Amino acid sequence: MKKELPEGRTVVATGNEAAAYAALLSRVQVIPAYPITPQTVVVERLAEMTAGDEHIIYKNMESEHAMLGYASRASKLGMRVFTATSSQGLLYADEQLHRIGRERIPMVIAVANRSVAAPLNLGPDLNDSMSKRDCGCLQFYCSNVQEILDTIILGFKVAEKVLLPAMINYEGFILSHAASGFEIPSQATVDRFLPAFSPPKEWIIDPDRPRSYSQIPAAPAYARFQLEVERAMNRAREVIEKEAREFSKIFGREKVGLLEITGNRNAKIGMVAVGSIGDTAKCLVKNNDLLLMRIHTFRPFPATELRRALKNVKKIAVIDRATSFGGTAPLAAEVIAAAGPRVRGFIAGIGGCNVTETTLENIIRKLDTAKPDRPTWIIEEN
Amino acid sequence: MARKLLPLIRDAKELDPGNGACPGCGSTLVLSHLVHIILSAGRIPFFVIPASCWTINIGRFPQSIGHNKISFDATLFASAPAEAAAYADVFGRIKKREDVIVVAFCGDGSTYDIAFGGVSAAAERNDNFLYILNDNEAYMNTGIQKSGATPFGAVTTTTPASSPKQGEKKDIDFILAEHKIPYLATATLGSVPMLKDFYAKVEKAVFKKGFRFIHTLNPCPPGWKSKSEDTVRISELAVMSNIFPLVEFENGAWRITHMPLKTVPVTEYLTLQERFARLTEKDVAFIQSSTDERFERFKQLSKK
Repeated sequence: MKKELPEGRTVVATGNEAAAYAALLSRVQVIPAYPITPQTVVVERLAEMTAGDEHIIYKNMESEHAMLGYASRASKLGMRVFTATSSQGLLYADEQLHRIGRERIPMVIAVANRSVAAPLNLGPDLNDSMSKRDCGCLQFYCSNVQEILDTIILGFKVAEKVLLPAMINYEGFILSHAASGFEIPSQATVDRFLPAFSPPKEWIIDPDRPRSYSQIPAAPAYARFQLEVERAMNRAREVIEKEAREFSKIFGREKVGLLEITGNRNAKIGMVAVGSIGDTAKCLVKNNDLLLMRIHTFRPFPATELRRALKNVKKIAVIDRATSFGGTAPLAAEVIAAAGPRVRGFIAGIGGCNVTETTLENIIRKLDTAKPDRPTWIIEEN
Repeated sequence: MARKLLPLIRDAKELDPGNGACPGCGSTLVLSHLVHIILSAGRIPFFVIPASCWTINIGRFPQSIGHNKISFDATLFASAPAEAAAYADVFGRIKKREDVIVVAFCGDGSTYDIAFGGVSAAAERNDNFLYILNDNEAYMNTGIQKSGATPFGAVTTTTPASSPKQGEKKDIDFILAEHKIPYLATATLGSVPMLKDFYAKVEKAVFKKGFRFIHTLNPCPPGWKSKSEDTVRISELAVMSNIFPLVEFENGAWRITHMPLKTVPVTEYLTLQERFARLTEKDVAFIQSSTDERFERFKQLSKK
């Protein structure tokens, strides 16, 4: 029950636990669940903490596909919905992901990122979620455990304002299982930031206002629905910045909006990273003349902010923990679109390979020799 | 039951005028009577429709056969049971809407094949909704492809005349009864007593709680290569030949709800459908014996 929620305290716990606490602090009403490594602790904690609570529906489903189907219908009835998955589970639910984006379902999905088969692998990389970048879900990437908790609460606020689902990503094991100290805000503080979910009346499915939903439209009507998703994504850029400022004010934490910029603004070398690699890269800033951009939201992508910040940089290293076989890796593709031919793409940390400060320093050294038209792979031996 | 047939037919007009279904579509009769029974029982139906003919039949956006009086949610192919469960849970547990009845109206392609795991899961959880299986024995909406419900010997576009369907239809009724669900019944809209049987079953199912399953067999003239005007006759013959016995499973017990006054050979049912035109004498004999065997099983179970 809620009384077990250690609100208003600093605790040492894992990222998965932070995700579960954040969901409850967000006063979720419906939690459909299905287990997968490394997400399992999220649904286990939520099962324990919601047992016997009449106001929360915790539902064990038969697959991630069913889980998101259940989630989307509960949301359309005006419920605040949370769930979590990883890797194969996210891929199994692919059809539902494309639908919840296009149907404008403002739920939050926590993703403990894990590499995808084949061969079967449990280690973290971002191929699961990055391959879902086009489905109309907002995508946030966390770099530490505190940020998982914060971004889930922020994610609900943004999702409900723009009516889009929010996928909150954090690398499996590195963040899902490693315990670290973080602050759990009080329920009252969260309530001050996140009001009850109240979507527009015409958006809610209401049996007293009967009609048909998701029928087949004519092509132009279909295209206009898609355009609305694009517009909502673009609106989300401003909403994320505004709500991140508000969050920072209410919770007394540093603002983390679309992206985080650290290092020397006049440096000649830039680095763009995402997730925990972004956190590791911060250590480099102390000893290197470097401008570091850590991407917090990958969808919508902060192209304008990135372009502006990278204006004076001569060479940019982009670290992807994901691939796009035969093309440019997902993050590098975005940075090239924003910053042009100064960009060199590196792929590191695939399947859970180590990415240390040394790895990143070596990448900077390779910047001059790296090929511009294809990614350079870095595979660290354990 | 003293119910008169004429008022039933006259009053079941909630979906008029018109819908996108083919002439002679058996499932149109079922849906139309179903809506009528639920409304007459003072309940508000909420339909969950996975990809099927009814995705088309409910009308093109923004028109709807429900004329904004009945809700239809066109959902994904594989997740209608999960989605119906979500509606049922939120209506029931959070919104306390006892008057709303969630109905998953699903074809045989979803029920027997792509959503089979989902149907089983909803049955196991005893989710509180009414599942109407619209069984026309193939993927008709996509152009008559074989499904897990396609009977032995039937020609479809993926079991062509040179190689008709091998193996028997999946026995969904026994499979679901083994899930110990509170209510299961079969129905088809043939003769007057069969229509009355359908009304009695739906009325019973509406007022029950948990996972209720009604298997309706619905002739499909384009898919079965039958005449539109034969739809009701074929339904009737399905029961009279014991190909489709009218049964009920309630409180763990089976019951034959309608015993045909006269039993006819399966050929009478089969010959009205060109999809069975390739059957050999041996094939027909096999269908007859397996039909007799299955009916005998129901008879034995009904005695218990």
